[in-house]
Amino acid sequence: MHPLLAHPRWLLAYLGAWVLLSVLPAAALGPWEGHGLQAAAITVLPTLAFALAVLPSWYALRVFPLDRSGLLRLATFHGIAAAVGGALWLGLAEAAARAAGLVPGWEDAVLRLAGRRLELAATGAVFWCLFAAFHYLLAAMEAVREAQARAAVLEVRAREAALAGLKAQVHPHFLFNSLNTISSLVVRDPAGARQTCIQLADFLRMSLRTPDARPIPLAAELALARAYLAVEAVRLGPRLVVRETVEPGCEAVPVLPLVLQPLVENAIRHGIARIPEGGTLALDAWRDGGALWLRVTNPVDPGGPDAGGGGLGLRTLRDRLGAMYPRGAVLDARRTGDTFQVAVRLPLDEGGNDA
Amino acid sequence: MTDPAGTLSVLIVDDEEPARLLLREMLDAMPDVRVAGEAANGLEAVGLAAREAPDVVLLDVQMPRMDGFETLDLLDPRIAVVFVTAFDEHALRAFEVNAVDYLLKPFPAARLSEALARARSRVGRVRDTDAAALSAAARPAGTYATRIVVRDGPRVDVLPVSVVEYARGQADYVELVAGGRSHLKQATLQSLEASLDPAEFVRIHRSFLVNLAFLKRIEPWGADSRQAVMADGAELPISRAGLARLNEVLDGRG
Repeated sequence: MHPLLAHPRWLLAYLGAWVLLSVLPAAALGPWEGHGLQAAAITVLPTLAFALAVLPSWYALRVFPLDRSGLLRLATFHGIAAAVGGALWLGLAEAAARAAGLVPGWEDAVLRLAGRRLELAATGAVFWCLFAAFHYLLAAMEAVREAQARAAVLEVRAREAALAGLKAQVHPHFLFNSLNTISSLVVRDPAGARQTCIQLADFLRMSLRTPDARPIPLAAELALARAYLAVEAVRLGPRLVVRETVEPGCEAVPVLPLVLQPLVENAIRHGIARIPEGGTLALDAWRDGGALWLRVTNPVDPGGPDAGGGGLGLRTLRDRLGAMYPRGAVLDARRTGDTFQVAVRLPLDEGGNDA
Repeated sequence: MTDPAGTLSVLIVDDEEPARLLLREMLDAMPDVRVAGEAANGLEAVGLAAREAPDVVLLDVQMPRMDGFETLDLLDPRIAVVFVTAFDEHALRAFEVNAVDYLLKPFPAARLSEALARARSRVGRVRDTDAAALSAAARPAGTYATRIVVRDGPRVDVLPVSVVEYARGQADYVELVAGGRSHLKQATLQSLEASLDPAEFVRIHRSFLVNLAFLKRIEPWGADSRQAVMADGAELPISRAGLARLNEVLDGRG
């Protein structure tokens, strides 16, 4: 639906503007000397009719946006449209003048057009150009409003994702289990208890870093993941084996904060901790062309129907990746037999990594 | 089993070794308590409990393969159970609703003593906790059981619900048919039905619950009745209410 027809007030303002514009043809046809009413009949009425008649071309104009139409196409379209507009306005003025001529005392109304038809047609062409300019202005305003709304939505999403990421990183279950582990160590292994306390403190400190979205070096992400794994290693004992393979040179690459730790935590919570015998968590990082790859692999319990889940955590991470790397990020999670694997591709030329 | 004045035998069940060691340390320091054994998972726990017949089981909730609720389901109802968990809001709600005793990790020895004293006062009494109801209360709303544990003497089977073809309700137990075998489980058909996804399992009769994935066809039976033919060829009666439920679910699938 045409935006003006949707808002009666806008339509009134639009028609009001045209009434003012009808001063142009009125001046061309003057002087009027006491024939104000006749002037209104011959100029204002056809102008208003013109204003309504061109409204449907709104849709035609959408096909020729200013910024993407090419100068020749635009000029051709508007040249023809202006000619048609001029003819239309002249025709409307003729009709109005003829109708006015039927009114007693206004018989000479048609004579007013004599010798001025070219000017009147030019006025119509100008009117068309004004209408087109008005349309482009409205379209531009609409585009700005839409862009603002889209930006606002994106911002809210990014914030929600950041918050969810923060909430997800320290699971209460992990915290209380870790405290219980420390409690267990206090008497039989005081040094181990102290060590675990320190590792837990390291993990919490790193987790509580200001949650801004700026990239941090992979080294910092690795440190967080290692602190987490160190605490889990005490709890799970020989059930957890960690194999880390980080290609030299990767540690300095800036990455999305909290990109790795959720993957490592998923691998334990939904994988290794659910297997009585435990298993090996493999953590790989390497560079490939224009991207840094991170991969976490873990076994899942063959009998576990929902093994390798962690749906919410992965979804949150996917959203956060999309916000920071709009084009080239990849998150690929798959279960092959009894192995679950998540690979993340972080493009080096996005996410604030541009030179 | 012991008399209330004597030594209380306690079985420790937790998949984490530090947690087991801590419990043992606390229990060893208590004069009238004896550790009957330690199990690292539900299966071990069920076997040990059958052999040692402890008075009390300290049962961790989150364990691999068989969680605390499923383990409870298979334990002799004369054994008192105290749940132990780190943090699980759903489990806590379930405990509150079902008035089951529980300990939150980490806890002081005094708290453990209290729980054991309560258990001691109940020694010899039969536990009336409905494991299925407890398990259902501990599940987040809108989620359903993904597996069913059944015990056949010393043997425990864990059946993914997707392999269960249909269930037949008997007096106080349920017969589950899966892969050409039949398993008996102490439960009511009603509680089984409540724990399963109603979009997959439909109660077609007072005594029958079927997995739609194994329903081959519905055919007329007698004058105005229907019967369900299952993938294994079994013919099961469909009641009037059962047919309505069946149609509702099948229509809902479009």
